[in-house]
Amino acid sequence: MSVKYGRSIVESSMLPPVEFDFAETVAAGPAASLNLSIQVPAAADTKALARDLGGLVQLLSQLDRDWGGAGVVIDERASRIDGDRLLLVLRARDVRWSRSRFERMAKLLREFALEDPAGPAGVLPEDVVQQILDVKPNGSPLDVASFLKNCAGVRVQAAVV
Amino acid sequence: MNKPRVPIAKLFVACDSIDIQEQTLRRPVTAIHPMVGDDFPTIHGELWLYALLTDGLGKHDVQLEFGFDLSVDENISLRTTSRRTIDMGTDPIAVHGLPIPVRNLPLRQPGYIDIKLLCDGVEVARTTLRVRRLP
Repeated sequence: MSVKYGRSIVESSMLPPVEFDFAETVAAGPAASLNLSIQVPAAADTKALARDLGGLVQLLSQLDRDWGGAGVVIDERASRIDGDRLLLVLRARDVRWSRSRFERMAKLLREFALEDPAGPAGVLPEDVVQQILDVKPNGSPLDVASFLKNCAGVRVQAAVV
Repeated sequence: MNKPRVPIAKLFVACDSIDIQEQTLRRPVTAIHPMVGDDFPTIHGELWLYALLTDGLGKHDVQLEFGFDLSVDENISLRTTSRRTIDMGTDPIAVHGLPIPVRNLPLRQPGYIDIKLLCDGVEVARTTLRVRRLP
């Protein structure tokens, strides 16, 4: 009696190629934005705060470049003052893969910025907002952590939209 | 009806090109570099990956995850491609070669690129390519 144990010759085929192109305009979903909701203490030095937030945008821009992007810009039309908060909307100059870069930035900001919020919040004057908007990107990625730690009292919430 | 199951990758390599008709790999590579006369950062026009898959059933979504610049820990850049669908058929012991052309690969600096093959979001294979400067 012969016993059939199995097959030793298996079917082998070549599947159709699946192509990936890094030049795709949108490779990882639609263009994303990084929304920073910034709450400041009432007694904050607004000029110093504007400088610090400008620095934050610089650093995030540098991070974006280091992670393969072309820097970030502030979306002035979408950014606004909302009561005691400043909503800063950042968009990537290069939208390819921007969502994954923004998610990494948001994670970084959550790790350093959401601890120990201090005091009642104040309202940001228009001139302070303008100073923030005027900042030119020129930062160092390694300074992000120390910068956020020094930004005492300022609460930054980050979300990728 | 058979339930789709994530395949196993028996091989995952990079090469210059793949002859689809002959089912042969041309010049497997372990390192890539800018074109002669070019410098970093640059774009690598085309690279082929080849995966040998088995133990899979039905349709699956595949995608690649690239980890760039592994020589500098702080600057690792992860990029996950969009998904493509493949059909593994109905025979789980069949072996399927999967050619994957990758075009316009950005090379920022010398170092390493870590490439993962994800199937339905699960890592099934991984390979590393060295990115180097021409001597």
